[in-house]
Amino acid sequence: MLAYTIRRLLIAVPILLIASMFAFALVEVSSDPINTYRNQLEQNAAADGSGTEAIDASVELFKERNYYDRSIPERYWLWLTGIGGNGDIGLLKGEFGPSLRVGYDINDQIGKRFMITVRLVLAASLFAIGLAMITGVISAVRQYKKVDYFLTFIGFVALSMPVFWLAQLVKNAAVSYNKATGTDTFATYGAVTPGDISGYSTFEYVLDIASHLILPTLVLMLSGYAAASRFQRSAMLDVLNSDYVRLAKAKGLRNRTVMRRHALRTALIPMATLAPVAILASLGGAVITETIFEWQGLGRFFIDALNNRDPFAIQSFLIVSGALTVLGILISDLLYGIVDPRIRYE
Amino acid sequence: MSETTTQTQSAETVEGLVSKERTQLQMVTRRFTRHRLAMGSLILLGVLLLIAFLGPYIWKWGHGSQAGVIPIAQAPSPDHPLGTTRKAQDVLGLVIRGTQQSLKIGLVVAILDIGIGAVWGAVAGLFRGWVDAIMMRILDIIFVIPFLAIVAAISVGIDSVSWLDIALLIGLLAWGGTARLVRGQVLSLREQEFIEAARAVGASNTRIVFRHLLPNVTGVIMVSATLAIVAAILTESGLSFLGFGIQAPDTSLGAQVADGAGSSMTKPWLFYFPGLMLVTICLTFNFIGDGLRDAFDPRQTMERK
Repeated sequence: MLAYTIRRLLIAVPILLIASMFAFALVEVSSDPINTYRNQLEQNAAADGSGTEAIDASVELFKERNYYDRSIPERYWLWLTGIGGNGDIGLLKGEFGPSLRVGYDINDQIGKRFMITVRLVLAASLFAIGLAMITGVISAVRQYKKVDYFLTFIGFVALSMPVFWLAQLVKNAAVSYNKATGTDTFATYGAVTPGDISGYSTFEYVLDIASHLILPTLVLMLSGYAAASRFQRSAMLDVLNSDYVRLAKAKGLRNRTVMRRHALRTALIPMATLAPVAILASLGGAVITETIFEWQGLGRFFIDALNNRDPFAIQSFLIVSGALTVLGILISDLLYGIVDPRIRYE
Repeated sequence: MSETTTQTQSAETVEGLVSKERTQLQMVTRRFTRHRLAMGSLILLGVLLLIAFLGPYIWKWGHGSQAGVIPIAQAPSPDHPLGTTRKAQDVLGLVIRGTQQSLKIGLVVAILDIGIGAVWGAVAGLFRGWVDAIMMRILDIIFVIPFLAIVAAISVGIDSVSWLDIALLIGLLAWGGTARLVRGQVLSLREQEFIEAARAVGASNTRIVFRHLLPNVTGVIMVSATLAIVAAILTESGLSFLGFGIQAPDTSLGAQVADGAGSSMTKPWLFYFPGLMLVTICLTFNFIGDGLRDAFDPRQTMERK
């Protein structure tokens, strides 16, 4: 088991490494901060009349500060290791690089926002998979009955729902409900109640977080849920049509026992492989959900970075989400090994 | 012989006894036409295509802003059945244009998805070994980062994003799912006798891939392509919603929802009509995909349910 874990970890490293090159190259190719900066300066110069030399000097300074005086491979190496930088760059040292925005610290922002997004993504993935297990099994057991058709239809609708539209719908419904009942049952804004929280007890704090978490989780889980429930349904159907379940029925076991002892145990195993898919789906969706529910999480961070054309910030979101996915893959591989006794580690 | 035919005709209702031979295409068409939801969706898709591509010639308002001619932010009325926007645009005109964009993007992505993904998967599955390993690792790397984020990161670098830019970006990055599925199928197909026979008579690898392997995975490819279309349409609308997709003065359903989202309680027509159209398009493709999956499934009997 230990050897297997280590081997999986070793495979994860090169994938993440090449993914980081990929992310870096993408952003490099599609961004041109030097020219943008120069144009900005020239516009200002036209207004206050400073000379071209001053502009050139500023651009040089800008290049040096943001490491644009180096070639792309050199910059990638610097971004990864931080060797030869000013101490504000180097992923391996835990530094994401300088931001083009004045007074904006990428490390600081990611540190603050990381848990907010992870909370949302984890809640959404867990609920998506959990709910998919239940409805998938029900669908399979009641195959081609009304329940099955109904659940399948719900699945298709969930698969066809644009996250941003659904999020707004849910938000409107919650706002109307709050207004109608004159309460604030559902928090529709932010990840926590803004303002002073020092007066809160732990219980109140958790309750506050939970009430903010409900709606975004509901929205975010749907896309992952749709795929997972189809998957669970077909896994359960495979098991129900297998010989050993038929044997269990043939030897006269009660239906309940067949389901619980024989069918369910095997049918739930493949769901372990779906964790990374669910995490990926919710990470992508989180970018949109956080925008609508005004969460200050990583998704919002990414949107801000894109709007400001801030290369190191964009890259840091890509690499953080890549790392989360690789972690998800790793966990699901190990989990699969634990829950499925047929898998042996040599 | 004649006896069998009469028997067939008399036993038309008992499907299991049909003795007339059908080609695969006939069987698939037959199964598909019996899938009511899928057939309904196919007809609906036809209607949507008509709306999207003939609509602009028939409907008097386009998607452009016509200040002074079109009233500002008006609720649905006989002259503007879906209302108007704050920028003096006719919502029906906008939705028609948006539908057209979504369908065009879906089409381009489907072509790329089939063209790249299917061949990639077939080649990887056929060659196995290190070729397969490298080709699949490339997929893993693209898979690791959320798709929406990759496309957004590239599209901010493009000056004015057109529907074709977005379609190409999505299409060139999104064929991983199809490639994986096709590879899985090919891995089992390549062990079968007909491939061995093709090799024995000296068929080249190209011939084996295009003449023997790909026709056998048509079903998988088509189902996967419909899923890719839905994913592409949702990705594009998501990007446009965030402001990184199709740029004004052109429009897309996602951008329209974004414009209407803020006032969805007071001016619901701005928000609901484009959104409903988007859901309808995606549902249509999903149901067609479901019908295709059933139709191509060899384990399906003619007798449904």
